[in-house]
Amino acid sequence: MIKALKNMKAAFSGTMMKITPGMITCEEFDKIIVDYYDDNLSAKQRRTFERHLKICPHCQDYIKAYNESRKLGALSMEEIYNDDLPEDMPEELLQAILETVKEKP
Amino acid sequence: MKSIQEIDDKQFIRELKQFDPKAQTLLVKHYGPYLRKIAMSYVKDEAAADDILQDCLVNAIQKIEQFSGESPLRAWLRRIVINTALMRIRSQKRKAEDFIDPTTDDFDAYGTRLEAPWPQFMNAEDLLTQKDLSKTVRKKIEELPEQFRIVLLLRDIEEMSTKEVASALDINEGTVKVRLHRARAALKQKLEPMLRGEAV
Repeated sequence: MIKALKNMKAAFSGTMMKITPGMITCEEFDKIIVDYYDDNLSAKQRRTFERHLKICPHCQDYIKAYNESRKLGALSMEEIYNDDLPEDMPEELLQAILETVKEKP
Repeated sequence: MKSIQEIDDKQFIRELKQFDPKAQTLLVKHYGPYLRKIAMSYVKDEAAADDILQDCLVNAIQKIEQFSGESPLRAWLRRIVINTALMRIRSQKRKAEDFIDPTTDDFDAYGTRLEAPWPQFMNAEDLLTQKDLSKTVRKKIEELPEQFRIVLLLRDIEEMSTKEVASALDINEGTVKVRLHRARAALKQKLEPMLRGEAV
């Protein structure tokens, strides 16, 4: 019964998004996320994106998690790149590089 | 977080430009491990990363005249190692396992997103105070199929534009956008237990 109600609610909200002028569905919203954050949308598309985001709780949660995971990924990668790593270069690799430099001055 | 020490003072660069073997050895020893880590994040294979590192450093030493000093030496080397890795990747055939299910984001028949409710959100900065968490996140990034992982690294870590990535990988901009979105969506899915504050 609850499942049936949920399905009805989803169908209603999806259909409403589809038939209301200036509204998009979550799936259509999904396709322009990259362009939105790259600032590649027209003013009209941008308004449509933001309107959907304002009224759709699913996409609000999704976008929040999407952006937080991007940040988590970037900070974790930067850590590896900026860390003063204790490891040394393997000696044979170091020698191979220096030998190649000598051979090809 | 400690920063890798910059050693590119004017004297050092001058010695490199004079092909001084001692300066070259210092360059390789100092920046080698850092560049190797970057190469590894692109190719995930130690032997391939070593080849890339070797090509990168030999190239850098031989073309040191081209280093203008406008950016730090480390940034110049980072760009060379990434270009070297991309050249290698472009020259290889696409692997069969390079695939992310296009339905990573789920929608119902009416185009409504099927997102499980988020009773709480953890933020990235707080999460990263946990020991070894960044290592776990990097492992999740490594798990992404190559063609998606590379677009993600170039766009979100190197902060290259869609146009630059398209040109570097010899693919069209539309493909870059699709891969980027799928990579971000797949990463979100992999990091969800952490972001939801569940056990990692």
